[in-house]
Amino acid sequence: MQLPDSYEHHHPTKIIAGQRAVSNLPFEAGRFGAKKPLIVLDEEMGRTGFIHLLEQAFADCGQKSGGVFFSGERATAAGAGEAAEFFRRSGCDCFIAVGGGAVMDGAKAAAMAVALEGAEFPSDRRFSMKLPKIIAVPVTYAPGYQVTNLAELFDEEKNRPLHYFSENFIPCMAVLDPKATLKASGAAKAAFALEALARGLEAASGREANPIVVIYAKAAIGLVKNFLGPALNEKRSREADQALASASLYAGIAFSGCSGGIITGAAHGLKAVRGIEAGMAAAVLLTRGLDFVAREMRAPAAELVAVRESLSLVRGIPGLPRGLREAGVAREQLEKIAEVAQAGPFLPEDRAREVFTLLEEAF
Amino acid sequence: MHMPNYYQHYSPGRIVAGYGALDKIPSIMERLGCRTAMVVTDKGVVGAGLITCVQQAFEGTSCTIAHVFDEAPPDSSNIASNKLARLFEQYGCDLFLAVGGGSSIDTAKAANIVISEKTDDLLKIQGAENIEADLLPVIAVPTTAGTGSEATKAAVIFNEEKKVKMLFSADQLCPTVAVLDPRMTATAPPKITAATGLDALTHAIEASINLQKNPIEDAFAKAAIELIAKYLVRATENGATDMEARYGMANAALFAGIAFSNSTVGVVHSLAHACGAVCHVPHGMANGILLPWCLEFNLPRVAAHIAELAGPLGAEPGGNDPVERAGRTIRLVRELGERLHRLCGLPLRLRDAGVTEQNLPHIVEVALNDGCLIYNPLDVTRNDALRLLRNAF
Amino acid sequence: MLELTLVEKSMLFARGFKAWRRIESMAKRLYMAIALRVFGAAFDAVSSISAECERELADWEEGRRFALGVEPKGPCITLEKKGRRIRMIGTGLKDPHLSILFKNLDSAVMVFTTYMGVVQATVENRALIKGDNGRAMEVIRILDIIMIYLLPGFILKKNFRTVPGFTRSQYLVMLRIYAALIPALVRTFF
Ligand SMILES: NC(=O)c1ccc[n+]([C@@H]2O[C@H](COP(=O)([O-])OP(=O)(O)OC[C@H]3O[C@@H](n4cnc5c(N)ncnc54)[C@H](O)[C@@H]3O)[C@@H](O)[C@H]2O)c1
Ligand SMILES: [Fe+2]
Repeated sequence: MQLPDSYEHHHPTKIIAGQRAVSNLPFEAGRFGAKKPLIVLDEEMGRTGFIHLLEQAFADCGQKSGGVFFSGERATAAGAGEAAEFFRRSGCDCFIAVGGGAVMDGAKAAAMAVALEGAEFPSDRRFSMKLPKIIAVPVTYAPGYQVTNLAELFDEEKNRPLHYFSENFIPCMAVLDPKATLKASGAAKAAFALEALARGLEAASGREANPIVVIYAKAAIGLVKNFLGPALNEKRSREADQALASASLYAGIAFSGCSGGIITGAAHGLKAVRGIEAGMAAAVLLTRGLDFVAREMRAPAAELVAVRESLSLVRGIPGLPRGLREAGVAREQLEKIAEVAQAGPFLPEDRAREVFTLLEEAF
Repeated sequence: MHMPNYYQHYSPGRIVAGYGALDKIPSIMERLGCRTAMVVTDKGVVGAGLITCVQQAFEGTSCTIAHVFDEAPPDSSNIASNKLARLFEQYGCDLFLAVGGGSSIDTAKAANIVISEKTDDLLKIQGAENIEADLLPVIAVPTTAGTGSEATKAAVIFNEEKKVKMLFSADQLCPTVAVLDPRMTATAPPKITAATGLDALTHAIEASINLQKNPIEDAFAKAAIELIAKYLVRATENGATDMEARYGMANAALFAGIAFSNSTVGVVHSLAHACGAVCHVPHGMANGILLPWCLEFNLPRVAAHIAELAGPLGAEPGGNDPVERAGRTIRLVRELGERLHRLCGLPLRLRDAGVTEQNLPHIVEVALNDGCLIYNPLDVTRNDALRLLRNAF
Repeated sequence: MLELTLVEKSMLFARGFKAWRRIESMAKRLYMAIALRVFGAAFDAVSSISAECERELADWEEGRRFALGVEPKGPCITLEKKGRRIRMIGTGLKDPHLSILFKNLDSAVMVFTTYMGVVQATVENRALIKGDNGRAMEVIRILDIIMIYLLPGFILKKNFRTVPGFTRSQYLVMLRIYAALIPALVRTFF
């Protein structure tokens, strides 16, 4: 392990993972001073009834949640305002977000709205106000960023996403319960796992990477390498599902500690221009562009081998596009995608050229 | 890779590491909204001139050091913590700045409990997850690379009236910030460097073989073991000048601390704690002596886990038989101990560390009551414990 | 849709009703209240008969109290060392020197239905300890002895790291313990 001359790390999420983790949530939340949560959900999770598990856990302690708020498909300022109003009215003291990235963003945006007390959302990317506590209950195989320092809000007027970064977005707790696992197709599982791989690879490859971030990244890659096979092939492997859930969580932590990179950047461009989910984008970019990525990012050798092995497991899975063309991207759009990627929040330096080459490789 | 049925991982502290990290302390304090620090340390650390370095970092800033408390005893005690808590309030401080080894950091943690739980009887608060109050901020600057106390949720305090050890483990005890600066460990004498380094190695190895093993603690532990294999001999040999080795060891101790704070330690620590309590064997020294024997003891149950550690310890890749590979791990641990023995005279046997044969039964009784045993892969009976001690004697 | 077994799905469905949730909580509480009292009686019966227990108790100071129970404000019993045995002195926390409290009902039920062993529950951080760690180890050792005498072999094999073999005289002790358990149960419940 290479140590940089100096580094700083802070990611205070308590991970609680495994059998009946949700039963333990009220006790642990109480230790954070959180007694009355507002539960944020999306429609799909609402239909699964998962929330009753949470309600049971609170009932077992003689407590009650402050209510349920359904966040839309993407977080907006208006939705956040509504949630904040609900939060205040019911006297809540924390958020529990159950779902994938969109719900997590919904909760973060709502927390921002609580802190802003009715003021406009700022234009600056850095957000430093103190927020109510956020507890994440990530759902395995649901797409999107989960435990990160990033929140994506959709600006409906200007029809574009806004990004905010804040240490305070980092959930105080992440609860991985095996029951919070979606029935997923092979392609969805692969996308979920490969997104974690991409994040991990990016985080482990930074030149001056913070070694703790590298530790999380390596753990994520190792888990995907060992458990993607069973997750895809066995009828139902709770162990493998839980392992991939942990991998995704570690990858989110690693991602929060580094500034992103060309895969995340390109995926952002693909989402903005063609509406391709980040996981799917990462899967395609890695499958076709790994050689380029490896050269460009100087990834550690052991991790590269692990990524190659994992990629060989997903070859030929139905529903997983083999290239960007199959994913519905036209060659003329690549330039535009690279441009949007560069303007996004994941490429602090000018890397539009590399992103363009990566897109071409993956076409 | 091993995926357990259930695990928890928590490492809430901020890590600030680097050559010159010390100079950042005042700005860290400002970010925490604090101004007045109480330095907690011991005479040895003051004598090594380390507090002067800290004071220099405060020059020309708006933060101040209200008082330097240099009476942290070797096994942090309740009397010292109570006194420290009183001084902290008298001087109107708002933050503990612990500069020292595990003893100083634990003393600060205990005083913090005294103030925040508003009690002077720590006996009432001891236990696992038994602290409910929010604690005051603590910045830990380790001057030994070993205990990992700068990133653990544990504190061990000796009760001088009742003559018992009190154990505290609670999330809030993890220091708010850990500052790793290789300058701070450069003055540690070779024997302390070697012993504390073996403590860190034991944390990492036990965390990655015991029952709370989980993928993230594994990753922290392996990173720590790799660094220890690379740097511990160098830090012991040329500690005053080899800053790269010091920095590597400081990081290793931190990573091992994070690993065992979450997945605890096992039989090595139970026996080492008992050797410390009965015969005052320094903690790291006892761990170093006992580690290979205890690995052999656990081998039948966790050969595969032990085998995974050969690579990080520096073995060339290869070998598919887990038992054989685990044997390789144990040999590498032994060799490291022997090299340190040749370099600085660190004992390899309990009898050379102040233990007599008559002490052994008493050590066994104390060890059986040590909580770490629960996390060991195999059950440890009286006979097992005695046999292990005899082997290492 | 969630990836759940049929039983899990039905449980989830049932829990959608507020009344069910209340009843389930009450049932778990009741179960724990009974199970703890049975254990209270077992402490009494085993400690008065087993030689292993006697050896463990030799070092305990007279009047040492400990509690077993569930957070927050769940069922709980307090026991005390009196003479050569351990007696349950009542329900609730009666000023114990040590308490071992499960963090939630589900974890407690898993252990007290022997679905999960004490070691595994500790490893999974399912309980908190108020008081001296060494004393907690002493209580856990006695709990182990109780379980070894009272539970069938296949459960022991599942929940213990090593299961000690039983000698013929230990089988006799076991019978005596079962015999003593009945009056002890009568005492605790009536
Ligand atoms: N909280 C935890 O997680 C945890 C874990 C393990 C051990 N501990 C506790 O830590 C204590 C042991 O800590 P330790 O091994 O760090 O030893 P220590 O703090 O007792 O220090 C040992 C000696 O080394 C001297 N010293 C330390 N740094 C020096 C330096 N840079 N230069 C010169 N001299 C220096 C000290 O003055 C002291 O005399 C024990 O009390 C143990 O119970 C705590
Ligand atoms: Fe230690």
